[in-house]
Amino acid sequence: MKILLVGNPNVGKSVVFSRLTGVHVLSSNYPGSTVSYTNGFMKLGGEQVEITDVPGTYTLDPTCEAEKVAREMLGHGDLIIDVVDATNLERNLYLTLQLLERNTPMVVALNVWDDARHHGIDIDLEKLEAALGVPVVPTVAVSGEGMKQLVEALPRAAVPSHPARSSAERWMAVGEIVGRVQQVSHRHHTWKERLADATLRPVSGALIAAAVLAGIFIGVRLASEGLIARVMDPLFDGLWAPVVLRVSRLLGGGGLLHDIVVGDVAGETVHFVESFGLLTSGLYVPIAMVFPYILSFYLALGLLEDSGYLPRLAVMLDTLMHRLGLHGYAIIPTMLGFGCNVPGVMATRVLESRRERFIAATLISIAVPCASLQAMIFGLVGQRGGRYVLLVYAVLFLVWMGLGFVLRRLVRGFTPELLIEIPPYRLPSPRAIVQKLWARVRGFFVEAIPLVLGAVLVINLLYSFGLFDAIADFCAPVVTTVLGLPRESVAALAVGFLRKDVALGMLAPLDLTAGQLVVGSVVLAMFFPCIATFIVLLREIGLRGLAKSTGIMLAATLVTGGILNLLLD
Amino acid sequence: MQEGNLVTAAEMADGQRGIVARIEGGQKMLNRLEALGIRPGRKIRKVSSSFLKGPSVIEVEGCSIAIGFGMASRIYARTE
Repeated sequence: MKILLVGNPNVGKSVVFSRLTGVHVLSSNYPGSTVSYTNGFMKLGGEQVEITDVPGTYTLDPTCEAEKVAREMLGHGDLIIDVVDATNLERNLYLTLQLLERNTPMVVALNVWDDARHHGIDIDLEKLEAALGVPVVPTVAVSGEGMKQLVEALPRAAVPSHPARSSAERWMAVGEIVGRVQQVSHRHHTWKERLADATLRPVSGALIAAAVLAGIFIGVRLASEGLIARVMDPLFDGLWAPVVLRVSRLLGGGGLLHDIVVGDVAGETVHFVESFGLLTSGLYVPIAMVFPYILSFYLALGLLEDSGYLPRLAVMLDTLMHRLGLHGYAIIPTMLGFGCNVPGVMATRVLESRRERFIAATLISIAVPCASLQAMIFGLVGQRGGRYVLLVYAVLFLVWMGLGFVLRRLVRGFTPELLIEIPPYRLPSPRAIVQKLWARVRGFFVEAIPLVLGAVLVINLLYSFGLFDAIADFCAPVVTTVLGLPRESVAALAVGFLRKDVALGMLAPLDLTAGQLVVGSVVLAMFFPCIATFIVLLREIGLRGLAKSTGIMLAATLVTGGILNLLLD
Repeated sequence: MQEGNLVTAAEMADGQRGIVARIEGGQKMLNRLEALGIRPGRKIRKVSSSFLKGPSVIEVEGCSIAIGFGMASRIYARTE
């Protein structure tokens, strides 16, 4: 049996899903955090049933890619759990009636039930059940309240015969039901809501947005640097370095195997970044340099997502984003891209038009550095002075703006206007924040670390077989003349295709000037997205889109790198 | 009782209340707005607008919705 979780965006379907299946899916406080479906299983009366978390949709007449996914999935379900936001009964019931017309057995979970009561909304459950003809269960998915009752109600799922209606008739029916079952005690705007409105007003909103973004940037940096200096470096220097030295001696202090395992270790000090062995750079780069940034960035992002601020940021940035051929909501995929480009590009599905998705995905893959690369930029470029780090960010920001400006003119199609629901502010639940952080950190350890180790291994093998020389000879003219980087950096650029952090690490032993390091960082950020991003780009914008995007990327990288080289030389 | 003025959602002042009188636009736009609960007869409150023809935020039945300038200019409301 297959159960589908269906409902409006941001009503808590993913939270219900996690509660029912124990499978953790990312959930946030903004419409569209689920862009593709997730499957999980639960036991129901001794039977194993499959549950699918369907992306949110306001109507079954799809208006964007994520809604199309939702509509297509409906054909494959044996039972629907319609998750309804009790604080927004009227709008939610429209979809409920549409679902009921499809003659699939259904149960309604009346979620956010606690908020509804706080808002003075009183819903008569018995009357609602009678009007809909299906079981209605009040739930508070975040705390787990009502989940047991929801599961118990599943066998009672009913197929009432609702007539097919036109949209006007459906709204009439909704209005009639709401009038019968819901009582709202009138209530004045609280000071909290007035404060919330301030985040949307032009002047106060812009100041708050600037403060929030600057706060994240500075906060993530300080937290990560602290973690590196106080925990990671002492751990590696004090505990791990002696082990590495012992292994180095055991392996005879040289030879291919020695170089692969511990890398270039000479004497009694271990240079963890430069040595390039599996046990040195292979572990130090991802764990000591990148992981602290992953941890603090995703903590900040999680808080931002769950608070409900992101859609407000989208409103504040809408006017700017329209100059780039996007609308404000594209800021959400962009913010995700700062963690990792892969979920960033996938999240472009919340955008309505093909043109917007192409522009947003291209801009993310070119001008938005992922957390791993940013960690290395802070770590390596930061050693030469904070102003160089700022220079890298300033250049990437200009590229983002400039490229968007050009793409808006070049890419045909239209960009629809912003039309989004702004969820209420919620105090993020610590439990949800920790769970989400854990899921993302685990993802990093499971996916990134093996890839880093693999990259280090491949680099060592290619070096020892002299293959890099062949590639380097081929690309060297462009790299040395246009970008002003030494011939050896070709290898680093090539490795950027596997892992950006390792690639930047490869520039460390090359004795680059600060200017060259800035050029190298910018080029690595813009040049070929890593292979994982490449694959999702192919999936999201298709082969032709990917080809175009790659052409744009090559041109933009050479132009930007070339200009930067001339200016900094 | 005095009839209110007819203004667009983009023109409404922050905090002003009104009732949607009519929406000018194609069926697709009407459907999208309707799905979010914006249709003739609904009470709305303007929350904020932005500079340079940016989006307006209006509140319908306790739910805030951000609407681009062009669309907001085609939603006419009778103010209270």
